[in-house]
Amino acid sequence: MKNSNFHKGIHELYKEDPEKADQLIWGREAHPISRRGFLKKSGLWAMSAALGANIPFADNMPGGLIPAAFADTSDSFNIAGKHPGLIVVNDRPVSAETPAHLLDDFVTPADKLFIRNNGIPPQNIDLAAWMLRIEGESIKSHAQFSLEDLKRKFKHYTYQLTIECAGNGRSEFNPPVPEGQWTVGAVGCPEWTGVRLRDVLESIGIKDDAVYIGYYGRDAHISGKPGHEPISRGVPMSKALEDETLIAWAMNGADIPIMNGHPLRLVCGGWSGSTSGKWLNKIVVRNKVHDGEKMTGLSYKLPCHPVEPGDKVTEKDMCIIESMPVKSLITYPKTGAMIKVGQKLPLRGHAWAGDLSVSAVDISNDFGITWQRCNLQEPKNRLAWQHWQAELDFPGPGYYEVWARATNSAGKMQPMVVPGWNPKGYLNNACHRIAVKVV
Amino acid sequence: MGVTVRIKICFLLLFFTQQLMAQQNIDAKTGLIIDQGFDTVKSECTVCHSAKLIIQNKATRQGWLETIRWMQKTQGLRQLTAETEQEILAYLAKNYPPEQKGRRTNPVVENWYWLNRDQ
Repeated sequence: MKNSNFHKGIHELYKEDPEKADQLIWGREAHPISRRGFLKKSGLWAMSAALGANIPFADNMPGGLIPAAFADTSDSFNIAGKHPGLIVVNDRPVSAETPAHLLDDFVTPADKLFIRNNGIPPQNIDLAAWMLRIEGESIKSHAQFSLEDLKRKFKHYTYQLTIECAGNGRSEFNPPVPEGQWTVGAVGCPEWTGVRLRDVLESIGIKDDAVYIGYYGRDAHISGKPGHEPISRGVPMSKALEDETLIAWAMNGADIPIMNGHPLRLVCGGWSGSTSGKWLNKIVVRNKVHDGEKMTGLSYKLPCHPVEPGDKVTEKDMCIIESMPVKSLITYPKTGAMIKVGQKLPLRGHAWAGDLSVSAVDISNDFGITWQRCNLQEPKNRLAWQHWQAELDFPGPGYYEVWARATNSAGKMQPMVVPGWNPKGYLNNACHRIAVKVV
Repeated sequence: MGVTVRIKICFLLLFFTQQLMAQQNIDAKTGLIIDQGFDTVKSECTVCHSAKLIIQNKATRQGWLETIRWMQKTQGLRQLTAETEQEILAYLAKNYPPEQKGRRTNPVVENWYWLNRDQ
């Protein structure tokens, strides 16, 4: 029941109020003049009325975007090629998740990959001028590469890699945790093409004291304040130097969608999506754990030792999230399916396990009392999700829930209830459930 | 039960449903609950972020205060007057308090549908 009225699709948001949606989605709320000036301008009265509000952030907002905000956007508006069924979780910055039944494809299509932005994506991208700088105290010399350089100088690799937001499932934590209330759909597994981060860094020379890499991107801080990074995270050298860690320019054989990082991004499959920096223009090789925005404080960290729900935890007792946990989704059928007595229910979905692989997926239609083993495919490559399928019998008419539970290659399973509460609401990998009626 | 009685019951149900919906006092534009402090919340909050961010999140008064402080510290929100802040906090704490969800809620089903095996 919760939030369903307000979980609106992108198109719905635009249909209701295209100007406001445009402002929200593209960060075009900015106005270069003061609140007083704004209110006195009769020509802008319509915007003021639409917003029904003053502009407390006016001082901090980047100017020059207003004409675009007033552009005629009432016709079929599309957010960089995203499926209209995506659910907007936050609109400033844009976050949108994909309902489980729309994640049925083996390889997640571009229009069905979730969006989790921390800032405002860059506009007016000049591909010829785009540079990736390599810096930091633990690279032997500073260097920079154009997109053309990267494509010409290094071998290309294509891998299917799972990306999941660390906050996927946050909406279930109790007591509630602020920020985006993701349910299950902040995950996807497209095919990425690019060059190995390792090849690029080794072509310059990595110093012996290197421990971490950090990324920077071209997105702007949500406050509009120049000099503030929206996000700058990274991974330890061991992850950075893996075969599958890519500097990617293509997704499913086409340009990466703008909301997913065009023209260049990092892809660190199996780890929190926040390590896969978008709109990538700089990588630093550090001699200590990278200390960029959202590497410090409580962001993307879990309590080092389990805490009671609602506890305050200080920064020194929090540890950085690395690999994502084992998890699975039922992508067919959509929840709410009704079948006839005696009919078998076909089921399928995906399972993934961070740095590891999935060794089994089991399903239950009796709240976890009995489990049935599913057919499980091998991943296309390391760090790709795995497909499972099954057929279930039901003992008679009634209401059922089908639960899916994956086990990773180390024998760890998904919990059936929401796992350990944590102050930022990360890593809820409780088993996915769909409701089914047998009539 | 006769057909007329059933029709009457239907009308009555319709009437009560409408009454119930009207009593919820939801602002059509923002989806926010209309209550003491609504105008202030609308003008101070929804100009910079969607009302959905408020509605989706639930917190105690202290939790909402921490959210305001976080926005001031990291998101460029300006200082609010004490009066405005009190009004916003009272509205949020009353209308968007934490819900006791337990370890898992019942799954939400928006539409039950017949499964066509050809799908």
